[in-house]
Amino acid sequence: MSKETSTFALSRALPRIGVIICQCGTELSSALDLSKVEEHARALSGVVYAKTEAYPCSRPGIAALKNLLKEKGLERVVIAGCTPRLHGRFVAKALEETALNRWYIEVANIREHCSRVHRNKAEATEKAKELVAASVKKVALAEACEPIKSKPRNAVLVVGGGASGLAASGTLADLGNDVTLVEKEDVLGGMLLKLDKPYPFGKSAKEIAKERISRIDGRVRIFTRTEVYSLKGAPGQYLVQLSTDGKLKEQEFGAIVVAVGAECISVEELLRTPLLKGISEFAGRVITQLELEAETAGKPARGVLGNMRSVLFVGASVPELSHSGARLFSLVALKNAAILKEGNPDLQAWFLFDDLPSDLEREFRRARNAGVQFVRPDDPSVLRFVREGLRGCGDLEINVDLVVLPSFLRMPSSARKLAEVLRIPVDARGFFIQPHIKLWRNDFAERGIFVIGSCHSPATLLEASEHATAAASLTTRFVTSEIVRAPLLSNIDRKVCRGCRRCFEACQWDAIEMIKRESDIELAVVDEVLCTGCGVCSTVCINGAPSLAPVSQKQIRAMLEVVGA
Amino acid sequence: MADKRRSNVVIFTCSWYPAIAADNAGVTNQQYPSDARIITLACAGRLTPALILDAFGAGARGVLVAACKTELCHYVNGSLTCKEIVEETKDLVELLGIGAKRLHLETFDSEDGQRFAEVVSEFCGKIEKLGMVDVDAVPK
Amino acid sequence: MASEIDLEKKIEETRAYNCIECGICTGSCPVSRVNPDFSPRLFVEKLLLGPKDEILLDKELWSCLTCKTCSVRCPATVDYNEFMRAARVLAREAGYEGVDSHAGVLRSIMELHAKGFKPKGTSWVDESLKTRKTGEDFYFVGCLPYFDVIFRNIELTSTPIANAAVKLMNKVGITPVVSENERCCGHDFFWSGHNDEFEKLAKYNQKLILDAGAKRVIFTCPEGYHTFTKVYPTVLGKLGFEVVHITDVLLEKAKKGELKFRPAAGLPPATAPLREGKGAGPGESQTDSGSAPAPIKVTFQDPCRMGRMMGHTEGMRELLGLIPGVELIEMPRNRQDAVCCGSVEWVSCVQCDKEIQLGRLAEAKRTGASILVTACPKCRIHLTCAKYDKDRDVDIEIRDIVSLVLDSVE
Repeated sequence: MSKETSTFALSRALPRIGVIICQCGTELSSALDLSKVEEHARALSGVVYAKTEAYPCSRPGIAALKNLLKEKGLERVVIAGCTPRLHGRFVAKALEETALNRWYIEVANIREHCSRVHRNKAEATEKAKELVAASVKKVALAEACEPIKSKPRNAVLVVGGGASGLAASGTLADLGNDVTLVEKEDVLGGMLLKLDKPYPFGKSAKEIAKERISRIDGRVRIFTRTEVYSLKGAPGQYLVQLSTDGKLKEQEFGAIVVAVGAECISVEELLRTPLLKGISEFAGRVITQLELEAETAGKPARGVLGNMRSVLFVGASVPELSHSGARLFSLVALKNAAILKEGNPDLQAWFLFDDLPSDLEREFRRARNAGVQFVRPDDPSVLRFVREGLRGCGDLEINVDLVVLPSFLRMPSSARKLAEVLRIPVDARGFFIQPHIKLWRNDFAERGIFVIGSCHSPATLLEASEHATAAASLTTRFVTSEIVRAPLLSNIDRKVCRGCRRCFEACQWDAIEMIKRESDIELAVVDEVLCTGCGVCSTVCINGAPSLAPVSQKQIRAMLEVVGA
Repeated sequence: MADKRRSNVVIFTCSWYPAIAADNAGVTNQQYPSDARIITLACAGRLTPALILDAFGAGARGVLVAACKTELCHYVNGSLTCKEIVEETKDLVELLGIGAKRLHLETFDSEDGQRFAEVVSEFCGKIEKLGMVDVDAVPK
Repeated sequence: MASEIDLEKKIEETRAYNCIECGICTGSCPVSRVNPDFSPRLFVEKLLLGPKDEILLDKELWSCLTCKTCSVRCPATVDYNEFMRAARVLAREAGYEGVDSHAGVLRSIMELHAKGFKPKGTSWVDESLKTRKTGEDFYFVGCLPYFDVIFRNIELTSTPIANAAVKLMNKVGITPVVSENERCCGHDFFWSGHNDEFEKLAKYNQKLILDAGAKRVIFTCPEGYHTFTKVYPTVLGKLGFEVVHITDVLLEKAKKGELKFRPAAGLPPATAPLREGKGAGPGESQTDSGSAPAPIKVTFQDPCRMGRMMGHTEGMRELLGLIPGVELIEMPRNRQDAVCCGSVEWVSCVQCDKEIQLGRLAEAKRTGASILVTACPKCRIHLTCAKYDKDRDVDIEIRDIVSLVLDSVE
């Protein structure tokens, strides 16, 4: 799409607009006075046809619409009904097959935005009229846009060679992809190298790691001591710079799977949290689950704790630290408590908790049957440690030699940098959020960058493996078929740009380049492939040089004129 | 005495959390005042001061901007840009005699329809108390 | 409401038919020099030869600066300004939208003013200043408070000019009316073809001034000054008050001895050596040598709206001349030949305009002056904006004449 953006909007004869009002079975027809909406629509300038239909989104309904388009010579269509993210989408898709440009079809949401949220029928009807009128104005000024098509690169990058990364690489290789796996440490394995017997496999983590690594041996390109340095490009066509020991190398990928995991919060840090009141008084040892597994790995359970006779497992979730990982931390604590108690029947084991996810019933029973005593304090806020152990309200008194805390997870600071490079949004705790982009027909879809495992949210090994498999199959779309993207674009008028560079500095997608043209002043040029159409350039421009597609400022102004008053 | 002139509250939403939340408000039958009018933009980052002023110019009594929380913006800095724009426009709106209270930015970090409805209801209620914007008729 | 402009009649009225195709207009036009697609002569030619509607469609209609350089030199006395303006009005009526710079924010603000929104614009007034709500003298501040917000991106504030103006007025015994309900004078809308809105603004402002009991309106902005003086009467008839530019008020008071000057404070050091054999560097005290320091060289940007469009060029120079220690070096193109600052009425603000601005700044720098004095807040903004991007070495300080005068009086 390289149409010359004209700063003029020509007024010509208004296009022939048809308005179809959906009754939505009986929902809309009873919640709104649709006859009034239809009447109002018919009187709008440009509207040559307005009709209320029972099920325009049904197959016969769509067929009838297609005929109508031809019969009445309609050039634009407004469908007033439910949210465009639901059925409106199907109707729009179907109408496209009649050669009507996607952007000449507009859906006015008179259900979720109107009838469902306003009980007063009269008021809702007034609003519905306005919503239809605004859509009519919008579609009258719409310009035809074509989707942006690009050929994908048939290669997948997996970032992170831990549990999920290895699983993903394996599945991807099975699916016949060209896979590159990068790991920032010297060896593959990630957290697997630090665990003992992860749930539910029964095998040691080291065995699992060995298996997964041998599965990909020879079938996946592996680079250790390597990180992602920079990312440029669009879904299906990513240009990545990888840095190995500081040396840069460029490669192209169609999709990227991010499996960098998370790091465990150390015991030292945990000891400083308000969770552990009085912990400095405690004479015994305090460790995390991870340390427990490291110490017990490979050894038989019996006698593994030496001469310690009592242990307290803390399974309570601390909202500030657990971040949706409550299940994981509880699971690990239950499993380890059960294993330890089963192997050491004389060991006194307590499990402190305030809530347990209900789907851990089996693990809970196992631990309880082994003899672990479960303690649920009435008031967790008065818990505190003394020299011998834990004290609470009432007669809560637990004396122990060892306290095992959950290995809470958090994202390391290096992860934030990676998120910036890959432009992945992060939540308040730094965990990665699955990024999306607007594709042609569907409203949202993955950007070709998939976030799996604990870097998304604390995951058990099983969950991580499941994520990995799912992501692996989803990458297919970005490496094999033509990528069709909605033409959300910014088009910078070269005659208007003054070369102030504000857009260049504001664009987070590297989609703007400054190029010398006729004079020595460099002007901004947008790369269509990289541009996501967010519009930030048009807001920081001091000039109004960028015009946005597919919805222009002029269209929004026209809609405001209807809905403002 | 309630002003009989018609006037609405314009709500600009970006197409991510706020738009989904707005739909969810409908799905779960939340209720909010019927003078709310939603206009969905691809990204809140494309909202210029002119568009906000145009909303008031068209007759809106209040403008609510609904964007994603800045760290969660799918376009990276769209929401942050929007925040700066709303701050700047508040200064203009004060100068124009409309008053910064009639312009508000709310950020969302989830698709919760109930929250959307609550935010809209609260804002519309505030605007209702402020009444219509003071406008002079053209002298003869 | 249609403007009742008839293009044929306009052509007659503006004497477009008299064009003798000499090309002096194009040769003089600052836009033509940098924009090969624009030319005043071409416009007239298109009009006379092509279908009348074609020029309304022409994108270049919005490139014209309405600076009047062409008209002033045209031997056939074609009134291009009026012709372009009328074409713009018709273009808008036909639905051909023009261009709005700054993503339309200025246009929006002016539209809201025209729709009757009541501005509250006096937060800029410094507490030490004396102003009143009713009185004989009305100070029209214009859009300066809005510029303070919008031009944060080039780190420029404009309301200091207004504060300086009121302070000077106070010094000469004038306590002006400053109204918070002032609306845009309408200059930009007038020249960019928004006829209806312009008329509304004129009516609002006239009422405001008459209600305040004012007999005289004082301007710091040449555009407001020109609009009130030359354009408002065509729409409102008799205004009911006098209109004057502040430099004239100050000059009059200075001549009566009511304004005492001294060497200006806070100017950049003289760039020339103090005396032969006593080469002084910058920063060295100017009183060291025991004799009068070398004057600070300044040059002056004539506003189009004062110079060419009102023939008003000498008053501001006389005022500058009263400041001791300041020497005015004229740019080669001055007075009637002065080059427009390159952006007018928030329409065209494109690369070509930046070339014009950079060219003008270079011309100013070549005079050897260390300060470019502007007498128009718009000139100051546009030239500062072009300087801000640091594309070429055109670093010269830009100062408004009113602020300079304030720094130079006791």
